[in-house]
Amino acid sequence: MKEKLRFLCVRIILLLGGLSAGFILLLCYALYITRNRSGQIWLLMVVSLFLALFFYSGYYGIYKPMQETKRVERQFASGSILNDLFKIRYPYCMESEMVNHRFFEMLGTRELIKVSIKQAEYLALQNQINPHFLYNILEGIRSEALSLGVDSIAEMTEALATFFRYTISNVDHLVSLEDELANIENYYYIQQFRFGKKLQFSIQYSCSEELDEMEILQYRLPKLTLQPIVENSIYHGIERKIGEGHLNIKITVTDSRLIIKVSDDGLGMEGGKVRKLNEKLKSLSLDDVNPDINRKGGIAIQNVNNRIKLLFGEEYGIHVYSQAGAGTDVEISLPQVKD
Amino acid sequence: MRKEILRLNHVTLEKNGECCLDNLDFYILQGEIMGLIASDAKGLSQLVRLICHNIPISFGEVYYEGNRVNHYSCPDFTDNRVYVIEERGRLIGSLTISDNLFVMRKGFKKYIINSRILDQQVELLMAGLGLSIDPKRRVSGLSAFERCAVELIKANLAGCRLIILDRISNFLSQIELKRFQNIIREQAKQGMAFLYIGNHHQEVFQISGRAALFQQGTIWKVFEKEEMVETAIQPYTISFDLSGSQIREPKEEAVLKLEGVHLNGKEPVSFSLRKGECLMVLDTDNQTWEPLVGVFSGRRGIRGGRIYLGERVFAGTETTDFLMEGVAVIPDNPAETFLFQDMSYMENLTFLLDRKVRFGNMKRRHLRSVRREYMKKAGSCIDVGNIGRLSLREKYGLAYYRIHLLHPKVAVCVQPLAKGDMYVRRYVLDLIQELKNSGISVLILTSNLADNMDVSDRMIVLQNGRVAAEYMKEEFYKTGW
Repeated sequence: MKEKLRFLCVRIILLLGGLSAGFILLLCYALYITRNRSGQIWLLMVVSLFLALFFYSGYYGIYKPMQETKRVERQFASGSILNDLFKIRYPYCMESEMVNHRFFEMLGTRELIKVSIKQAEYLALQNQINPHFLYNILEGIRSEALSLGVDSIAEMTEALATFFRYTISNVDHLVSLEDELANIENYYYIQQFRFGKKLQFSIQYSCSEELDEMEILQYRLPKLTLQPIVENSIYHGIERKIGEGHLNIKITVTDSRLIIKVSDDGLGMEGGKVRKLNEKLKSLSLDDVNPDINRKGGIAIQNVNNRIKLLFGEEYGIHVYSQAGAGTDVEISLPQVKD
Repeated sequence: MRKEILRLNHVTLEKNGECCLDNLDFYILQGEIMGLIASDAKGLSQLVRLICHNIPISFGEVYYEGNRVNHYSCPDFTDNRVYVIEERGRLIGSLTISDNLFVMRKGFKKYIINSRILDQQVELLMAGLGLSIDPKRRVSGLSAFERCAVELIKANLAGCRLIILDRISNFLSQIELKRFQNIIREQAKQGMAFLYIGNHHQEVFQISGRAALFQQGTIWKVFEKEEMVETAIQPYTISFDLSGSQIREPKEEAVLKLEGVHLNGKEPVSFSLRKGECLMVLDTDNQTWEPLVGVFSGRRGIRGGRIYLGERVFAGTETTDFLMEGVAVIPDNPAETFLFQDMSYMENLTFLLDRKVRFGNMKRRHLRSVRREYMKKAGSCIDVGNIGRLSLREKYGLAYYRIHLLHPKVAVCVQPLAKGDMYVRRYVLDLIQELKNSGISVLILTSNLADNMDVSDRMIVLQNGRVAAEYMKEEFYKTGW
């Protein structure tokens, strides 16, 4: 019975039943009055109490839960939320909840994750001809360079091969922060061949007495969470900047979250653009699930955000702070996941 | 691992179709002093209210001490254990400190109150903060600093884990602010979290571990400690540099001179104000500026010493109408206390102008002339019938233009930059510059450096009622927050 009380239609039926009973009581009272038996006020008091109870339960039992359901549906209709629709506390009736449930199954969160990973793979591999062919070629170049004594080319090809291997293999896995940062350092090493001293990179840990750097590195996160963001910072922020550019990753651990902040002092973005981007990032969006072949610049930030929200829930994700001429900070909020 | 005391996750709050808070996303950790630089006032009061009470929001969620307390779908209107220390105190003035702390506390159930025990408890708590305030003192008799300290203890007793300090530099003097900030630091070490709201980034930077820049109802940047430098905030602020505007150099001749003036029985005050000069009097302990304003407003006399106004000399405890002598006072918060809300813009602007006209006979042509002249400065709002509809900026403009029109010898500006957002403060500086350029000497009485330095030619620092230091414009860098 308690489970059934969640449904608004059950509540309405109960309330209407109560109301009918109230009317019958009122009718009895009217009959009582017509028989000229005044002085017995208790019946009037009972009816008043009954009516007060009716209004109270109507307001808190039906009106407020209905408002809550309406708010969630309104946000869903405007495209701000996705998962919350399937977690409605007060559905209209059992059938509407079943429809929602069926819809959820059809949409399939797992499928969504798969689509998202596929997208990540697709975008990561948009230039691939054949990964094995690419590894072999890179290994070939490296051996040739070593035999000719050109160490710098050998190192660069090794870094490239390591980067591709990490990027292409098992995108659906959670990896340790240590692996993810190692990939970023490798990526930075590759970029240094192009940017030289123009690009400066640092990692900061916000350690405490209970938690040292080694423990922080054991936390797990979706693979390729950081690389697309670092890539964006370099290509959209630092590349077109005159003079040196600094890229900093700051890792903070709170009692419930792992917060990674990727900051650059590049060109930054205009206020309107930042607002639009954050508006998109605040909720899970399926608008960008289909990969855009024309999109350049690696895996989109929104895809990373979608993956985090799908895997861990809507309360995690990405938020961007930026200002033209002041650089950009991308804050990634993740739950604490350990082996 | 530090505990998250407060977390706002993508919070959007709309009121009457207007977006007050836009996608707000930030957190405060236990024992952290989180700064909030309020560049403008939009959404600030709603933010403070939202943190204290779980009011309906349009989107997002709020977490307090790790628990979700507010969600856009189901606001429950409950309160969070958050205390706000602001200009308007939350203590009952007619009761003693002990009564405010214990008797007025939620859950206090005793019918017979042993005031001796309560007083002892208060003394212990005060000692914990390094203070010794008599628990029997009534709250109405406390200084702003003492009141803040009592409120801090009250917040602790109420079990609050987060305290919002809402623009405390607006009502605490420089010395009081420093003392209170030291107490805050100590409290933070003991695990209390603070949201320190300030209008000036210099003030916020020097106290906070992280600082968020709040503008137009959203956070534009969260500054880490190592990012708290002038160059980092420059792209987000407007310039307060007045070097581009026309500047009239002050003359040597003194227009106002105070010689050994006794105010409240404190040390005698002596300084002089040159013609066309802007002098900032920085009252570090809030002891002098209020009596001085009382003297210039004609509410009180002086106990000793002399005031020279050009050729004229004033002394004695009898009050003097300094406005007639050419000294006009613009009080702090002139938008509220200096204007007549039910009068039109022109009526406000020309108020007291009859004193300047022969036989006090104001004619229509005078008004037409004033309107023509000030239309260029004030804009179309000059024709507004009820000034209640004006923005804060326009009200400030009206207050300063009234003085500009009266053209006194000296304009005394009391805490001119204490209220208003970054844009209003910048505008006030322009207005003071305009007064200076029209030949009026400006005396700024303030307890806070703020941005007054940008417009001042000279600064005098008052401590314990006497002049402790004097700086010329090129030496201002020696002072700081």
